[in-house]
Amino acid sequence: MSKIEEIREAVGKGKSKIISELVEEAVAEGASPMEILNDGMIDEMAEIGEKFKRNEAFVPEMLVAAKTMKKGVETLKKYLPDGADKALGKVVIGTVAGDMHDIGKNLVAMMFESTGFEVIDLGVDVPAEKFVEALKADPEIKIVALSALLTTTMQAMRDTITAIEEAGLRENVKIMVGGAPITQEFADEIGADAYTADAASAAEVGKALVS
Amino acid sequence: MENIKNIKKHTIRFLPSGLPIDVADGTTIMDAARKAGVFINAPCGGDGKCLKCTVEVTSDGVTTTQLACRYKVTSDIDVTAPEKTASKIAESGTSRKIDPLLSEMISKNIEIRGIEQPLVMAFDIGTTTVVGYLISAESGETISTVSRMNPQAQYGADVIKRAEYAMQSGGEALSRIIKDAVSDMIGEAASLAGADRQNIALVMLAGNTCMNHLFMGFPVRRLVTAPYKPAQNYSPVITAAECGINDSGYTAWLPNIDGFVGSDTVAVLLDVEMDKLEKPSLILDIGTNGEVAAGDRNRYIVCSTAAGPAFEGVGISCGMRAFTGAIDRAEITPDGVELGVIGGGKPHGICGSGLLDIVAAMLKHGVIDESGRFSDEDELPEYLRAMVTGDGAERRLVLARGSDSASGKEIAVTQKDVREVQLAKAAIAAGVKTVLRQLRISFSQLDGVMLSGAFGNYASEESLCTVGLLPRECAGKIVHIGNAAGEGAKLAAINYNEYKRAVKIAENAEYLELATNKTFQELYIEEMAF
Repeated sequence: MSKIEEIREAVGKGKSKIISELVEEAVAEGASPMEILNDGMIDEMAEIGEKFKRNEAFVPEMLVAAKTMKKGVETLKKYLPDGADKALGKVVIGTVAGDMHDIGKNLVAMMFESTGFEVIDLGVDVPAEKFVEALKADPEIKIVALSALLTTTMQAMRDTITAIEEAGLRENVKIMVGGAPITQEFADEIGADAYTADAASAAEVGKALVS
Repeated sequence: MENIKNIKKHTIRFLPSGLPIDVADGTTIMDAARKAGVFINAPCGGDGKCLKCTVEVTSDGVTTTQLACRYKVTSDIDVTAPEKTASKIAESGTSRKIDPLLSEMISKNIEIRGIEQPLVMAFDIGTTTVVGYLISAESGETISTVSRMNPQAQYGADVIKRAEYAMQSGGEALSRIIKDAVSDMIGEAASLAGADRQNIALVMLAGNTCMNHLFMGFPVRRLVTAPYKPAQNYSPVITAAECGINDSGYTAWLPNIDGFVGSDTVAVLLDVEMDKLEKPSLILDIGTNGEVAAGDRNRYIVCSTAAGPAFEGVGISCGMRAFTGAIDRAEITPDGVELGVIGGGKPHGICGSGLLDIVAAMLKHGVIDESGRFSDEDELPEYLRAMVTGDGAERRLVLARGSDSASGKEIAVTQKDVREVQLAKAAIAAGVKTVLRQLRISFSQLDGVMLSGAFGNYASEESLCTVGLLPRECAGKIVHIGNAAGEGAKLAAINYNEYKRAVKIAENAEYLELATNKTFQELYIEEMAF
């Protein structure tokens, strides 16, 4: 098995303890850092995302894989050209006002990171103004990702999009929405650019939206 | 409104009662049923998602099966709603004997009216089921027990859907429908006992905070959006006439503890005498929410975990509640699958305790691994290969083929169902661990683990420990305590001092909010694996 294959396996199985060592070994053996990142890690995370969509992998597997990759990227970073691991740009993410649910939003954030985005996580119960402030503070943000788990807080997504429109920032960003009660119909109704049903698809669609 | 004269009207007859109602063209059967007061179960709240609200529609002599929430009425039709079947609702628990004692206010009023055989009534208003007990105020004996599904289910299976309806359309409909059901049940309980409903001096109610708020008509917005706090924990004691459930007597609610821990939990804690427990104990009340309480009389913590309705058979591909025809026990042997079916006969679906047994057996026999993933063909034991089929989310263990099931449709547990069980199990197990950590108590230090509620009472200890809802250390310590919420409500109804005691128990409870608790979130992920 090549070192890159070993790295793939370590990410896939969430072996965070050996990932740094494997990355160092691969670099020492002359593997290209970009190849390690793309073929060893990003591809494997996409594969796990696919499995998650098919219900073959579940939340814990996806989380440990993402954590392992994160650790691997930290080790690899010094060999990569500046910003290569965040080449796709910036995403600001948060669970909307009135909603304290964290886990789904965190999964999406991790998948965005694993796909090559830089993620700014505003946390939970985030008022619309806070998203607007974040966008004003950082004009490089390309995607706003909104999460809601309660049917009662879905409306806060609409309010957030309206606030971004009113601040004159709507043209600059793509807005993505997700969470258990959200549907494509609702996303269309409130003027979001995309809805995805799971974390893996979110990162995939996010990538398509910015490229 | 200008077109109102032009709207066509149609007549729907609901069978078997024959109840007719006129509705506007385009009205859904579900809306018509709500108007007519006919019960059609709609766990998803009428979103067309759960497919549970099937009815037979006869139009021009042709009968078809339709979803009540999707079918729009365009002609005069007859609608047959599914028959109500026997339901396995935990009605009785372990009774604690106490002497009757009505409050001075109530007993004085009874004296004034000269009632000879005063009665009291206790209600456990569950999100899913409502149970009522008619009790002699002189002997403390339960004379009759009545139960039915909570009719608010027409507005959604879970509290959030119902609260949402109340926020959008006002809470009157939801309040009225449950009060009407309670009033009906009072009449039913009285006539079963051959008693006069006007002799009921007090109706004591318990239920989760949302049920309390919807019943009393309190605002629910803050309850179901952050900060998830009740509008009030105490409900005023009012006359039953003012409440609209009886012409005489009074109505009281046990107090809530917080947003997600209501007076039903207070009733459970009264029943188990939390204020007297010398040794640390764990009390679990598993319903749509899993309420967890742990500690001893000096310090106890309560919390609520969003277990979801999987253990009630909802959100599961072949899931059903614990009615006649539900698989409530299951075991896998090298000879195949052995199923226990409520009422005998062919199975119709799987209820919570059956689902738990099946998932535990699947783990033991390698149908799924510890991560919850279905095994590939070559990883399966030979004796099960023929029963596992499909791919991805649809990969499944077939328990009964179409020819062996009551509905003619295959009964199976799918990969997606296993994931639902993992989420429910993880929420409860993580909630329990978080509370015990907060108290610095280990499982081995627990004196007892008490399980209440319908699922808690029928769930097997072995299966609970196999799936890791409770750790192995708990085996041998698990006690089923029946419908402890109902028992506690009865105690508070019979004896005024017990009511006051319940208020104290509620005041002394420490509430732990899990939504923002980091330990809980970490444990929740960890506990998703078996």
